Amino acid sequence: MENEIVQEKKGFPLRKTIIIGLVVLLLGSMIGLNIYRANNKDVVKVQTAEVKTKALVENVLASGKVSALEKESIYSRVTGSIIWVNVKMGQEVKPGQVLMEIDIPDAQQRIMQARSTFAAAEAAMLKTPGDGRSNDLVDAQALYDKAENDFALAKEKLKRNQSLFDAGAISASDMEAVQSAYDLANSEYKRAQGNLNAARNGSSATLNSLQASLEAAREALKVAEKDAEQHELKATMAGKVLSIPVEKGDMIAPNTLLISIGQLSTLKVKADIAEGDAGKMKIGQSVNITAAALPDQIFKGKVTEVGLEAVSKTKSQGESTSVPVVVNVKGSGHLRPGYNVDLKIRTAEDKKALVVPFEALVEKNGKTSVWVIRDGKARLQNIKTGISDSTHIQVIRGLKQGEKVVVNPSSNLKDGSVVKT
Amino acid sequence: MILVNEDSMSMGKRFAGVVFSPVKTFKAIGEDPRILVPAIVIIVISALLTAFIIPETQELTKLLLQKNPEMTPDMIEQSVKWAGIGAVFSAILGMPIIWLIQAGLLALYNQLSIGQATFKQLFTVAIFSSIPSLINSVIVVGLTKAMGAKSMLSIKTSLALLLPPGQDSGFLYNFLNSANLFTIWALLLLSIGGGVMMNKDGKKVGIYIFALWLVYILVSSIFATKFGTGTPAL
Repeated sequence: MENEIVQEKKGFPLRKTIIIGLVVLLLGSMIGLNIYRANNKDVVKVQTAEVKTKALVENVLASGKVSALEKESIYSRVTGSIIWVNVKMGQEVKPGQVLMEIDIPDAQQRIMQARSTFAAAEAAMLKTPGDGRSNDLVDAQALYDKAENDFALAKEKLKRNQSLFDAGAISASDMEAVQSAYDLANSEYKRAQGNLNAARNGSSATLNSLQASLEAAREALKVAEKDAEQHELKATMAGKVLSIPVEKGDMIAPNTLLISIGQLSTLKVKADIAEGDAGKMKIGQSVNITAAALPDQIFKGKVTEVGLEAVSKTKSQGESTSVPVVVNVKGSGHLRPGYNVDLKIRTAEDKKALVVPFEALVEKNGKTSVWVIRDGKARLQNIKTGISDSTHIQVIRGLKQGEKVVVNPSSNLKDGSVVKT
Repeated sequence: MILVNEDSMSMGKRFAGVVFSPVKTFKAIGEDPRILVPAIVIIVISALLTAFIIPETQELTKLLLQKNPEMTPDMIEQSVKWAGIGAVFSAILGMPIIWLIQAGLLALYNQLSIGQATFKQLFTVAIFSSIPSLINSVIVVGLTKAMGAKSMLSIKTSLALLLPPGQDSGFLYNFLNSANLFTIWALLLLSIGGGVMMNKDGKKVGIYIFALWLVYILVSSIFATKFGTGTPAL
């Protein structure tokens, strides 16, 4: 029994030692972890990028539709039908070349009618006196001349008889008679004067009316003759046939598009630039053009026109304001009018720009800043930015090459925070 | 076979025995379940430890209240003054309440499993099971004194120590922070002591105790995640 007690006494301290050891280990770990956490609590883990130099090209993206720089669309002026189409799409044509023949049923009849109307108007003009005066005017002039002459005589007679009356050579009744004749001659003179003025106006209006009728008839004749010319539709410019919407046998009405001809040596693309980018546009800027229809090809163009006025358009997404630009591109056999294309307009370039990635930027209160790491701490630095491409933006002021900036900074980053990468 | 004179196990041996030989010690306690002395000892030590860091507690209270713009300087001063006193009173009053709850839960199990324990025995088990909490308090007080008032918010003795520094919010943090190692130790002692008193398998008592505890910390973690604001920055 004593041995058992001794053995029991020897076993107990070992168990105690193990428990004490475990507790000490646990306590030591706890204390150590707490100290470690306290020292590293404010340390923020961040991702960084280096401020470096890079060849930066700023592009403005837009899209538009290709069209021929020089193009003519010929519309029908008459009602008729297509007899024959003499050309094919893509065919080269010259000015004066007959493109198609159109049957215009009443063309000759209209010409004859117009000619007849013109002849009648011409004849009416010829009926007027050689010096252009009407008969009424001639009569009124004659009456006026007579009345003027009579009035002058009556006036002279009155004057003479007044002297005689004053001298007592004639009686009062004779004087009255002379006075009465004078008054009559005066009133006749005035009436004749009024008739003459009226005759003059009327004559002028009649003449104008006849002149106008003659001109109208002349124009109508020209139109009829011009319409009839469409019987053989001719090209007015050299170029290629772009499209022929009609075909043999089709009935056509006025303003039906018959054929389009264009010069494909130079094409143009009209695009709308968002108003935010419009200020960067300049004539002469180079443009890379790609089309969905030609995935592996890039065409080179140049900005030739920049609109001076912004235009508002209502689209499904809402109203948008943009400035139109026109880009010219050399025609190739592949790019065709009507294609939808994407434009990459090179607006600015800097071969050695100091840049940071977009993810480093912090926008606050209208200012642009970045978190720069200096002496192991994050510092908020205001910067001035310049041009940009799809991934980086130029820093004009505020940073030096080689400095490290925080990328995608977290919201708990504060000025002076200790950071680790 | 060891002959143990259970009647003669002193209070000191009981305190030490709970740590090193819990089964044997709880058997001795069960024979002579004394409540007053161990309760007073534990409450006094706890209150003393709390009182020892009253300056740090008041400083932390002041720092936290100053962040609230609605608090005037007078209000802050009053709150700081009562913060230290309140902490000591919480230590004095809080422990008996916890013992009561723990004893009640054990009594419920005792009732359901037709155990042989009395409430007094179970209450004594709860008292002695809180010894790990005292050890926990010693560590926390020591670290607080060493690292300052601001560190009180970040000092941990839970599984949240395993998380990276600075991570002080979210469900995972709240859940791990609830899993205090000394609490787990205390619950183990509670399970062992309860099993001994009830004359039941300690493992089954342990499953019962730990299941209740897991539900409690899960629910409190969910609430803390949804409505809490994380550890405030100072």
